Amino acid sequence: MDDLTKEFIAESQEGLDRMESCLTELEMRPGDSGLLGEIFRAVHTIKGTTGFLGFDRLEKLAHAGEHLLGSLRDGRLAVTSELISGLLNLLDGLRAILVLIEETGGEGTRSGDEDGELIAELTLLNGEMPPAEVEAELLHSIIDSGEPAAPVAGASKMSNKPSAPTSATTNSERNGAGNDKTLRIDVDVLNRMMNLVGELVLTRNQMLQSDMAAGNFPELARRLDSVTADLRETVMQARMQPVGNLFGKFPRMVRDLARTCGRDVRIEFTGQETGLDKSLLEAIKDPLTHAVRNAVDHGIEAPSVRVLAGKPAEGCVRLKAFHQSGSVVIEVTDDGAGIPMERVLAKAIERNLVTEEQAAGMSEREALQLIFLPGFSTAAAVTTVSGRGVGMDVVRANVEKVGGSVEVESRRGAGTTLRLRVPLTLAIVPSLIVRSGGQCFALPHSALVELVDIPQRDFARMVQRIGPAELYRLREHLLPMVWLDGLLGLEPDSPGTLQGHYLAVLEADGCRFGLVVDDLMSPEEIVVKPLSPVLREIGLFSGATVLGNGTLALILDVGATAARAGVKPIEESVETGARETGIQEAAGESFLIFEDRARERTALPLDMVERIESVPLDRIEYAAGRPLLQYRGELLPLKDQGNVLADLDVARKRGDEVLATVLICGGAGRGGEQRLGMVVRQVLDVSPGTVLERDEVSDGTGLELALVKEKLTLVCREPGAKATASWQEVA
Amino acid sequence: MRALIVDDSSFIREYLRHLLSRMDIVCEEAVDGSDALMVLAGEETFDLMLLDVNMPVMNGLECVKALREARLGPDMKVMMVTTEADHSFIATALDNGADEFLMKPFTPESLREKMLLLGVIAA
Repeated sequence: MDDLTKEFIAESQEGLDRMESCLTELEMRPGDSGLLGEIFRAVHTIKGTTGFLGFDRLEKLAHAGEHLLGSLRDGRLAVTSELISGLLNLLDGLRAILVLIEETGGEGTRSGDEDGELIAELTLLNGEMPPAEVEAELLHSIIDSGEPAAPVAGASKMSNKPSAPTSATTNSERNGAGNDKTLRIDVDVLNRMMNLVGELVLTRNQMLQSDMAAGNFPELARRLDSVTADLRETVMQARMQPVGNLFGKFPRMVRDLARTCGRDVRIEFTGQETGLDKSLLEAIKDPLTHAVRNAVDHGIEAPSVRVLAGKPAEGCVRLKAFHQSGSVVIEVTDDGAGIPMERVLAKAIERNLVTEEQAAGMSEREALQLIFLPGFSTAAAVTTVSGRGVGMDVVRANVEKVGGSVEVESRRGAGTTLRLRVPLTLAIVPSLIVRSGGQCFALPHSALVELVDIPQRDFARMVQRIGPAELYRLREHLLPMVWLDGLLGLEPDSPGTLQGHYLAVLEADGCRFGLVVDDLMSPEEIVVKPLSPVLREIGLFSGATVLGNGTLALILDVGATAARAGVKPIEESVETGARETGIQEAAGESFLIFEDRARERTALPLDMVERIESVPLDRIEYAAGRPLLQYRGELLPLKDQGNVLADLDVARKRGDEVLATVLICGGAGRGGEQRLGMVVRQVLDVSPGTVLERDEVSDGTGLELALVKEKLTLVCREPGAKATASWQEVA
Repeated sequence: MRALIVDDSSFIREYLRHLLSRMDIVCEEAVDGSDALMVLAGEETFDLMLLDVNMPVMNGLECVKALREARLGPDMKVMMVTTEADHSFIATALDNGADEFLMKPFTPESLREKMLLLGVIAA
């Protein structure tokens, strides 16, 4: 295909993309002559250029379209939804021929009447009888349209408030590429690149001429460093495309879809100018399309249902793109019915994805995750729009393939938000290099929250065990700990040589955990190399890289690591939206309720209680004024916050047989100093409850409030803290 | 001999440039009427302007009117390049100061013919 034809196809496709977004806008603002001018010009340009190239089929169709648009422009026709549909059909017809030309070099004309039906439709819309009178009518209308196009252009200049989709249009006009294989680059960026390459060549020449030992060598290395960094940045910039390019096709899709489903939906955009690497933009095209389709088909209710629920009949789908800590986040939000949790669970049980017992124990967030399982679909009927077995699992798989993640949030009656998070670019990832079991690993910065130094001497104090799990107390929140060497089955470094450990606090897929590593190396911008299938099988690594010192390092897939280590997602509190609510499930946690001397109801998480013992008072001994209990060969410190023992002592002096109720807490048999006994007045109940809020005044005793059996109850989450410390003082 | 090609379609600009360069004519391009006026307001002078009618921002009719009123390139011949849908504007264009018009799609011969008519090239 010659260059001119290629130019023609690219130009026509861009024009049609513009026409598409203008058409959906025109339906909302029928009087906007600027939009009409734009649409007219797209078809007009195609019509005007096809003649040169001899594409008769395209010319005929464009001619019919131009004719209809001419009537519209001259005010002889009004914008109706049928008319818009007809013009969209015209658009599809023109596009199909362009694709044919692009692929085969010809427009596949055989009968010469391929588009007869479409042309007849356009003619009918123009209020004319097809097809005999067409030619006569056409001549007539040409003579009629004596008014020059000037007012159109004038009006477009005066429309002072270009709405969002219009600005997206200009974006795609400037940066849009006709197809996947070409990319338009700002000449300034290209010039900058050329300058930097020049700098690079100069630096190389100097390096070649200079001696390794020469004094200016470090200076040259620094210059090379800065030129490379600039060059990388500029190349990245050249690859960046505004996500608006992707959003551009949604108004049309939503319109068509809404009509098919009998919904009334408008679409809104924010952040279209957010830049994303071109290859990533391509990669999220399908997932995003699917998400928008889902929002319209499953999210937004039928207009009558909406009105009954007190919402406007017209639903709204919002697409929002923004940068967040080295990633681009794209949110698809609808104001529909939200995801019906009980139907999700019922469907998951029906499809044998979970058992009934599992379902009963699931938090809302966990239940929502079920929609990402393969083969899951909640649509009551398989519709032509979404369903058919492909669903959110495909969305998630596609996004994860490029190193991104998908989250879903839903509120009953208020709507659903699907959040796609993708890295800015695939090729280069800022990472922290860590050492574990004598090997180097790279942790992507995007998943890294913070780093904690745990000196050897503090290790035992800061780490707590609940069952087999180790937890680190980080600013009043318990963080599950994962040992990297343990997880990978590496020989741990001999403990004698280590000064302590480091905890890399990581977050991925809604899970937050602390990865224990031996040492922290440097932060580096690593170049991601694909893994061999053998290493990919392990499922814990997303790639490999060569470090500055020449050694190899595997890049840890943080989400997969969390899943492998069995870290549960954090429950996000809906009221506050706060992320740091700790690791416990807000709902469904069981508490042991007891009363202390002040008859204050206090709750202890049930999994912290090993046993409840009734102990004769005389078995309690005292050392340095602190109570101790001989218990199964162990000396347990006793905690008596409510001074219950003093009360009991009074009763004993009256001669009564007195038993103290002691809760044996914590430890699970490991690290005896962690265990202790709690003296309480009375055990009241064991019941599930809901944690309300963390109390910041807890001064290390871990106090918080919970609603248990509709009564406000103080939660004592960590009975050990104070008592243990004081016992150690004694010892 | 220098020509200014004014068209919002990059295809048309490329095509015209291709045809004119075969006649040893040096070409400049502008993407709409106001862009063309800016080029004309600069240092360069042209012998011929090939001007499209339907363009965004400023169309060909406004452009020819403005440049004739401002006496930009007084010796330059202006040839309107139109389609049949623009046909009815031709009279207005000629009134506004255009010298000739060429109908799209045109052949290299018809372009040459019109240029001969304008006297910008010799036979």
